[in-house]
Amino acid sequence: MSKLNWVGAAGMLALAVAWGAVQLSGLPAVHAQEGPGGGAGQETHAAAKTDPTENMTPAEIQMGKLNFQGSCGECHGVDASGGVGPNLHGVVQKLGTQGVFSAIRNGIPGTAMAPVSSLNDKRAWQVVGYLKTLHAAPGSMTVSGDPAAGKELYEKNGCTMCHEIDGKGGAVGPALTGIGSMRSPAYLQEVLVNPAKNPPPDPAVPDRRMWTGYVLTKVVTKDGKTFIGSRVNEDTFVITLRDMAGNYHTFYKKNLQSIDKQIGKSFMPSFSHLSETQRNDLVAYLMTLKGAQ
Amino acid sequence: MKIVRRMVISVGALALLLPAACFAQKPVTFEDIVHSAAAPDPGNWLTYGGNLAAQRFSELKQINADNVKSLKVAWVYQLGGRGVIESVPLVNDGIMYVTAPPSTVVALDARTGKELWQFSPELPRDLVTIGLFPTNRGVALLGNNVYLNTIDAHLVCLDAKTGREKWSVEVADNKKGFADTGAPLAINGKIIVGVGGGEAGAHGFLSAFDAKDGKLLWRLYTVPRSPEDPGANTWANGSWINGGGTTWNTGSYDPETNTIYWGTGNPAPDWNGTGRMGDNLFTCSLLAIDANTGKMKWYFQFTPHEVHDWDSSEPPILFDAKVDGQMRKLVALANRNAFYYVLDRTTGKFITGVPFAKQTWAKGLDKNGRPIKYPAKDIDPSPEGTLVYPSLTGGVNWTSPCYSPLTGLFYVNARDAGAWYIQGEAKMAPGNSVGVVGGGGGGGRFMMGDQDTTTIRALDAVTGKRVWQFPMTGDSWTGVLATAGNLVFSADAEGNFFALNATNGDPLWHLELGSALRSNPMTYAVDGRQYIADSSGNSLFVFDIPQD
Repeated sequence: MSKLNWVGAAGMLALAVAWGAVQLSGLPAVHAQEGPGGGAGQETHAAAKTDPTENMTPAEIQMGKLNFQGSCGECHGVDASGGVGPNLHGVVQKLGTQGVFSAIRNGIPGTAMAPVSSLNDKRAWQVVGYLKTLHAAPGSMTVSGDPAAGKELYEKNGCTMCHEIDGKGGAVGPALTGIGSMRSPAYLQEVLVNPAKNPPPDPAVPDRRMWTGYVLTKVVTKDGKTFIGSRVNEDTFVITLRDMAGNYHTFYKKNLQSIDKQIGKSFMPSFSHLSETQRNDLVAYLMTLKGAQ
Repeated sequence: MKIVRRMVISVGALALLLPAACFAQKPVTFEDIVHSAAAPDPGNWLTYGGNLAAQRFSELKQINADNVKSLKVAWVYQLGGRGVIESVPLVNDGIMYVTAPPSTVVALDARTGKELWQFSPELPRDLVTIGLFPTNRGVALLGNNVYLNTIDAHLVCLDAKTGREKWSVEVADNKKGFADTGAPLAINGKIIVGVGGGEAGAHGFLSAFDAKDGKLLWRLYTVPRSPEDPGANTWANGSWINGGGTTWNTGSYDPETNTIYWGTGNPAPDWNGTGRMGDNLFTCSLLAIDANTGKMKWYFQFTPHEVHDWDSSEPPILFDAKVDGQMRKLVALANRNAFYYVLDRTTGKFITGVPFAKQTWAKGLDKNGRPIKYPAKDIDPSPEGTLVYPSLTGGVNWTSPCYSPLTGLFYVNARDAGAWYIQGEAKMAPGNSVGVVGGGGGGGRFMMGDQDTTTIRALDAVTGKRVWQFPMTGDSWTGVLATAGNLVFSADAEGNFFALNATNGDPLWHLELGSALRSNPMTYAVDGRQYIADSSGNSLFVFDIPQD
């Protein structure tokens, strides 16, 4: 153990001298040179004056693709068609090259999109160059249905009971207000037929509670009570379910006799009974939902 | 109240003993480091691994299995918007030194968490950080100095009292992709420093600097640099040119034999080994190094011709124990390839190796410890993706396991997930590689959610046999601490910091800290009171048992 007091004589003396200095000069006597973070990683990356993606060589665009797969693919999908993060096909046409560059280098405050530390300016521009080529939508991006018919189907099939659009609807499943910019038509087609194949993460809290949402779960307490709900979150000691009425139930795991996670099952029924045309219409409608703004 | 009283006493002492510097902070001697976290002064935690053997074991037992349920937050230090803390604080004589991303050092009063000084080096505008998060995992202490590895691959020496820079030397050229995130290791008069940047095609090496003035004393390259160098014949067609074998985590040291033990990272390029056939020495190996000369005494390669990004940079833990009735000097390493290894640390001879996490790449190990791999078509990365366990982040990653001489158990936070490994094009240009998991030869897709779990496992340190385990939800990135209070501390991915009974793994206490923990817990004592510390998100939490 420490036997001596560190707030010692020398320290007090130094303090007295420093105090005198402050009074004399009127300036604070502390580390003026040391801003938080010390430079890199803290500064805002300003957009370039010219557009570096103009006249980019195919080799540079190929580098951008590799960089994208490595640094962005985990969240946005290796083909940029969306995953945890939004589908990025057409993002350059929507936000502009400078806008996408800024999102990569500075992140988007208030979202899970953090600055991408592995991409410096040069690599970030290559990624922008690659994303720009995704303007011509691949087959998976084609929407052939009729959005108006899809909207009717959406309402007729009770989707509103569980999903919210623009503040209206239930909270059992994820809100769909911006689903058209988050997911590709191919993904939505698949989910309509096989809802549990790819359960989405619960509203993104970066690096926590990822991919724990919407799993159909049954728990039985030690005193024999059964609860069924979709899992809102779970950690080593606690699990929280949300029932069909939207009520939350939290359990200490030590008080449970069983936890049955129905991975691969969902509250959402399959809509495989709809015709292909009807599902296309529904997807066409969902793709028009681009977010609150 | 206590602090105020102390200050009054100090002022009194000032009047009486003005010329004497007897209240000055004790400098850290090499002898102190040899006895870090142990008698005679177990309250000091003076080196990254707790002690030089990297055991991360403390002899403190004021907080123990009987009273840990009363553990409360003593203080919290918030670093603000500087990112997630991955640093292990060091404590000497009541002062704590902790680091923050990218390369900031903060000195705190270890009793109260009040800041004494902080230091941030000036960093280049277009810093190169390939394959790593710009973070920092801690400092080294020796004499009156604090030693810091910076993200732009410099070694900086600070005055422990003021935080003022005494000198700074370049360890390696950041423009070529070298970067430093690990803590340096202070031994007798020398500061041992590794380098990161394997994904950038950096040639790995380990350096020893003179603790006084930063003069380079020796440098040991881990990968050949000419056809004549040892190991060059294990890289087909001169493919050693692309490098690898970085030394980014902190090693251990045996003062009795003056030997440094340090792990090496993956060969370059990652995930695509077609252009570098052969064992690729001395990547994915443990090196035993003479601390005076920097010469290799022996090496042990865990994963010959590695293609899954399974660096062998994990802390080598030194301990002595009976093997077949005979006392032996051992080194144990839980490898990213999911096998637990025990070697004779004098000779490097293989003693035992068993999986400690789920693995599907090797049938087992042969009598020399060399893996008996499944056919390459089943385990090597492929353009469409090959499912292999463990994942790219390994059976364990940079976070440290620990060893308790009281229980004879080795504790590790084991990762049981797999990944789909993708082979890509391998285009290497030193310092100009692409992406974290991109053009450096491929990459992979991770498992998510319920498939991606971690478990605290207690292994018999000599045999590797599992004694108990504590499964957690999610993908935890926290190391493990063992104490003489029969406790093991770690955390889950969801922010729960917890204490387990070291003998049987029973959970005894936990607290939700509000953000994932990505560090190694440690413990220290000041004025006869024991504290436990770990970081959650960008905040450092310190716990004690209220006594007033």
